[in-house]
Amino acid sequence: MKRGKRPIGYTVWLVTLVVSLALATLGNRVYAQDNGGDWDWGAFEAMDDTPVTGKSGSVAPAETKTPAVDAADFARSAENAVPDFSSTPRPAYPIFAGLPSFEVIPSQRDSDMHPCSNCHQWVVSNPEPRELKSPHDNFELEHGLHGKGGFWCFTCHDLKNGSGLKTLEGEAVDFADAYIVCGQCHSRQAYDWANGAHGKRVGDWQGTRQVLSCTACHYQHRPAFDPRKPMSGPEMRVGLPRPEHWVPESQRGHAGPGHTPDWQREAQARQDKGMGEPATAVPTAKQTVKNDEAS
Amino acid sequence: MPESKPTLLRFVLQSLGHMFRGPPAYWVWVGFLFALILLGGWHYYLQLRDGLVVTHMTNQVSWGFYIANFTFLVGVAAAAVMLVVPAYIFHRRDIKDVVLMGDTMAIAAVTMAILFVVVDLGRPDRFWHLIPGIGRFNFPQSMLAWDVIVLNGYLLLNVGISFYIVYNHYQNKEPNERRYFPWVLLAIFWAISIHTVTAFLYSANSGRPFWNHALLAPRFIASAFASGPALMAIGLQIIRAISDYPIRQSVINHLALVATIALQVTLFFMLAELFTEFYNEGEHAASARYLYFGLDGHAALTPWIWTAIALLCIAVVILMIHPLRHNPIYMNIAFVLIIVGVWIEKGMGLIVPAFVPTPIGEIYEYTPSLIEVMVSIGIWALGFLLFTLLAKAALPVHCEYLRRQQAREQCNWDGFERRHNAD
Amino acid sequence: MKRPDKDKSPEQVSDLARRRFIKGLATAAGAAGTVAASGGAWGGSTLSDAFADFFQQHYQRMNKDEIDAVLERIERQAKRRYGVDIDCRNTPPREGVVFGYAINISKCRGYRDCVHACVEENNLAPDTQYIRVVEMDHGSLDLRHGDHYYDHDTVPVEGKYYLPMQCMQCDNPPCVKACPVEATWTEPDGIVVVDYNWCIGCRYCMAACPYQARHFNWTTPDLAPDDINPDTHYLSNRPRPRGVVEKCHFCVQRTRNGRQPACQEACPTGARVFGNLLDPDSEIRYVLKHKAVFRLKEELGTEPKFWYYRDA
Repeated sequence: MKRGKRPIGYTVWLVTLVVSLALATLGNRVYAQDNGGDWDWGAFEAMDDTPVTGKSGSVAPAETKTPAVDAADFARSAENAVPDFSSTPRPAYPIFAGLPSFEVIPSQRDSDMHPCSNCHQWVVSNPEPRELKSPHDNFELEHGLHGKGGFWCFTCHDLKNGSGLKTLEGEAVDFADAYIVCGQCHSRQAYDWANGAHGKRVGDWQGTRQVLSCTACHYQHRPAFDPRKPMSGPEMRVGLPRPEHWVPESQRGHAGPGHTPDWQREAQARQDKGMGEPATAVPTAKQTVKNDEAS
Repeated sequence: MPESKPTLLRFVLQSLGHMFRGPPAYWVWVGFLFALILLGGWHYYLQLRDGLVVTHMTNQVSWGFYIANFTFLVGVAAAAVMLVVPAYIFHRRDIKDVVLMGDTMAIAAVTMAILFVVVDLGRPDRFWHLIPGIGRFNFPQSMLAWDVIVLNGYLLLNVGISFYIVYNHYQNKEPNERRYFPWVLLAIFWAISIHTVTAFLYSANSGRPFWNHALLAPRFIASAFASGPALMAIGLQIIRAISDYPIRQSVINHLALVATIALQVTLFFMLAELFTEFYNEGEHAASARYLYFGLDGHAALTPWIWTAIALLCIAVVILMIHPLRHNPIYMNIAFVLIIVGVWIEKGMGLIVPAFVPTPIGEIYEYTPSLIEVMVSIGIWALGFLLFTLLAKAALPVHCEYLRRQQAREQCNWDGFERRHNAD
Repeated sequence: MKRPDKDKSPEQVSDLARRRFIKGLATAAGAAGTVAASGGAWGGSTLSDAFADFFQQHYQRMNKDEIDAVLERIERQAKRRYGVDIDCRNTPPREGVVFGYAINISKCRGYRDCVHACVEENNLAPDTQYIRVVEMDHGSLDLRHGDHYYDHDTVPVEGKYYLPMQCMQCDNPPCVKACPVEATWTEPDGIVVVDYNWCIGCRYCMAACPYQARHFNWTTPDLAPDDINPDTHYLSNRPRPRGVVEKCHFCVQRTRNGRQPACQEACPTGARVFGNLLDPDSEIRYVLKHKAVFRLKEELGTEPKFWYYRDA
């Protein structure tokens, strides 16, 4: 499944670039009003390469904004969850030397924004942590320190070199070698990945190992997998009506006889009585669904 | 009796003649059975046409009513040994006179058992794959392969021995004991083996803890020796009522005694099993819990098994009180209770729970479909018909022989009466 | 007709006379009936093909020519029945390969993508699923309290983990022992397969399997012609007849050609590791060596070639 957007992407990009250049040359700071989110770019919105300037002002209180691409939708759509296997594999980075050799298939996700220097050779970036605006608002940054926002763009990105990524020590890393960046913190996963206990091998089970890069499965800005609807479960035999306990929860009129272990039930009872939630309390399935809806 | 030369052809013709001659009541009975067989045959045709999808079996409960009946009938067949042993080993004359009926019942029961397996097959057209030599027989690994051998072997043994004896009687010759006794001895061990192998068929499955224990085979034998003699005793009394076949009350009493002891042992085994399952109840007891008390709100079999236990307990009480056991009415009530009780306990109560829950924890509550019940009724009718026809052909020959014998050995017979009627 | 991939080495069968006898019967019967019978009754077969079906020998007893004839008949029957040109092959097992599977249960999120990839790849009837994903409570490995039919709005659900199960390809398979006609056996590459043309449908193997991995065709599988995967193998995903048992076979049609099984390919979280247990450099061997692994119901002595592990 190729994304097939690249030609359009380039055209859009070119057009926007020309527009941006023209605007910049005229010194017309249209964007300085800090109302980028109100601009109606229509179809261009997702691909908008509007530069973010240093003067774009203080971090404004969060406005109601609709991200062009919802990160949850992004991970949910099968096309994005399973990346393009046809990408050219690259031999693994030398730090994995000594391990069985393998090839890495880089992620194609967001590749139409790469490399950063496409825009940022013209546009000065704002190193200040702030609410992200178009064109960088197509994701919610939820990475680092358990989603508490400890990361900022320049933890991993480097605009100075053409490749776009850097290690914590500042060494330039190519986008296609993103796993080097990930592996700095997630060394245990990286080691497992290099050896085959983590990550996904594609192609054949034999011959040269071809594995997907980290970012093929984990969206780099929000690496946790999003919950999603499971596909349908087992069926009853042809010609037989489903017994009550075979009917999936969503099709049942009332709560099914789902099993809850005693310790969970006790914890639940204590919670209901207002005795405070014990540390081990795990919500039951029904509750969790409700919580999800609320959040 | 035709006094012409008794050849095999004449024997067969005469037997067929006996089969198709009888009072109106006989024809009503045979016609009734034929009607049931046709009904079962029609439903089996429906099953062949549409596949086993017409049953209520699923991947979860992959064996059901057919295999339940199969298990019960193997027990009935094995129980013929309870007449054979006293007749041939302990030379009890009264039993030797009726042992032929026991063999006939064994033939009918084994035939039914085999038929129940055949209707359970998904591809009965590939039955030839089971024939050693032409097909491919997984012997000795597969317990089912063993079962095929022992069941067919038992059928052949019983047919052979019965035929030899009846044919000799027909020729008015004393059957040569030296010739048939080794086969009788073999048949005795074989009878135990059919039920043991059938029990092993189940207890071999380590993935199903409800079956996978050493007590299964002993329990099988015990309950078979309760239900088989009960069925035989009722059959013999019916034959005695409608023919002049001399069946002594001592034979019935002997069968009642065997059933009593076997039933006591059966109940003891059940108790032992219940204790082991439930004293420290683990996941292995899930099937037993489903059967006896219901599991997670599913309890389709619970009323059945408690009915069976109640029936067996009433029966054992009746049989243990001597005045009641010697009362024909109470005795026969006890026999019927045993037959129904063991049929439930060993059929649906033994086969289905092993699949509920499945080894990976699913619960599917199985009840047989109409087609399964109809096909089963057809097979039972076929068994009854087979027994009726065989008995109808053998009885006149045997009666004639006994009459001559009796005249010759009047004193022996009287002596026997004195010795055994005190039982 | 040259079929280079159907090069199963012919097994020498001593009693040729028996085969000649059966073959003679089959030809006689086949000559008698060239009239096409109705599709339903004969499973999309002509009378002669139905007779050939009936007299077909056990897979392991056929020589190359006989197997080629069978493969062509299977393709013919599929064409007649579904109107689809399938390619039924007989790729032999590879030397020095024994397949094994490992699943990272801390990665599985219960999406059931593998289940449906398997259904599509293996031409399964719509009511059959080789893979079962069980929703389990944290802190318990008690299958009975798992939920097989979960259907939440989103998975994973808090407090639960997901345990995918399929045929474990036991090294000591109780099902193979149980089969009275040797219709199921272990191939040299460790895969337990079924000869669908030999199985008599007694379902004893289903009673014997401790993993509920075997599935019966209660009626003729109802396949949509558009959904049929034409890339098939005699021992795996060819269209099955009614009344026989089938099971997961690690996608013989793929894995013997070097590809990964469909479930591995479909897994969006990379929880599935498939490979050659005899290759010390394979990922699966790495997992077995470096991870805390367990196997289901190992205490039954089944020696499953299917492991579970956790990130730790």
